[in-house]
Amino acid sequence: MSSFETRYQLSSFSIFDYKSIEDNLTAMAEKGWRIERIGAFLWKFKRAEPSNKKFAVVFPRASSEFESMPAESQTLLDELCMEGGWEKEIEWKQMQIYCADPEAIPMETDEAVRLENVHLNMKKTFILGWILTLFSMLVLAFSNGMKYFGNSPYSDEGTIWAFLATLYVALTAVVSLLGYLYWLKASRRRISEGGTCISATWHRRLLNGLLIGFLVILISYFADTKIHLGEGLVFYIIIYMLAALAVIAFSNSFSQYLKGKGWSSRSNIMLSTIVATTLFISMIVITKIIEVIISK
Amino acid sequence: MARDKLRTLTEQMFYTLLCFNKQCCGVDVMKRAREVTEGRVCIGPGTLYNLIEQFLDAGLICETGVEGRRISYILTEKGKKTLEAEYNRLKKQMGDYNRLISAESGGLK
Repeated sequence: MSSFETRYQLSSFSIFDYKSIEDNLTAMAEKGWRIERIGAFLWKFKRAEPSNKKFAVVFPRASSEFESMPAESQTLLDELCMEGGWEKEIEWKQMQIYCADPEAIPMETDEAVRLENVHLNMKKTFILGWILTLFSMLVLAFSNGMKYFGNSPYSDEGTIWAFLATLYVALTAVVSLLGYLYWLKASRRRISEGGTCISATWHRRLLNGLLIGFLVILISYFADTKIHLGEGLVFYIIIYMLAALAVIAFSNSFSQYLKGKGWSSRSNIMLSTIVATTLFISMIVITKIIEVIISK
Repeated sequence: MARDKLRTLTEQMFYTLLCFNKQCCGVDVMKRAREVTEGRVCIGPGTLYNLIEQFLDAGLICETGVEGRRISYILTEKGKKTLEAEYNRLKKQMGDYNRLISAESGGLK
């Protein structure tokens, strides 16, 4: 997926996997590609002169996924980085990416301090997010399971699929959290022996594998419950998937836009949730209309 | 295993606190740590930033003023005690070394 000036790369790193992110950006810079934008699914690179710049991912202690860092903290970080020969390349969620010439002093000189800061950041976002997902999915799975296995009159052919899908997402949350905890433990051990954190590309691959499993469940659900669509079924599934991806990507970008505009964390979360919910409901309505049109 | 927070200091933490014994800003710490250790210890900007935030949260240092874009800090009483405790711990380690290696067996073999 590349043109002359732009290249897109599928996002294939877990957010805490700073080592792999740095290695990837360094390798891309060597090939003449500099990061321009980071999105929920794609990383956009622009053509540049090949360079041997090195990259560093910083998780500032005062940073937030939904709110800009306090000006005082950002100034302190900028001053220190400037002194050390580092320039800010891009910012995404709670991480800031810097680049420097190879001879610049290392951005991080105490891996133990670095890892604990990454963990502090992950507690506020990654871990909290997956725990909320786990509990909400377990509640939904329990509710659908009770309806289906209790022969509720409100149960239909979609209930068992909803039960399976929510249980599957709950399982994904458990796998993701356990994977992170393993990475943290192994990285702490490696650092205590004088090394750096371990790579976690396996974590993202695992999640991508689980995502494929989820898509299989979703397609099976459509195939089972929308059989009346006949030949239009494939078209319907494609529209549904693209709409879902668009809603996720837009919600993500919108939240980052508000952060960039200096909105507070609370306002950002509230407005982003309202926008995401509205988009999600609109998506359901639009796909329902498409379903009716195809049925005719 | 994770180290107990600030009970024992890493080398970078130790020198950062040591440099804040005199009022100075973050950039000064980067330079002073290198000077004091004759280039042996270099504190990276990312590490120093997070240490300053961590020490502020823990009440080991406090802000003393702003000059242009630069903020100055100095050790608090709690910070001085933490630094002193680390110094005593290191001194005990040296004492143990001297007692077991230098004095008993006449040097490391």
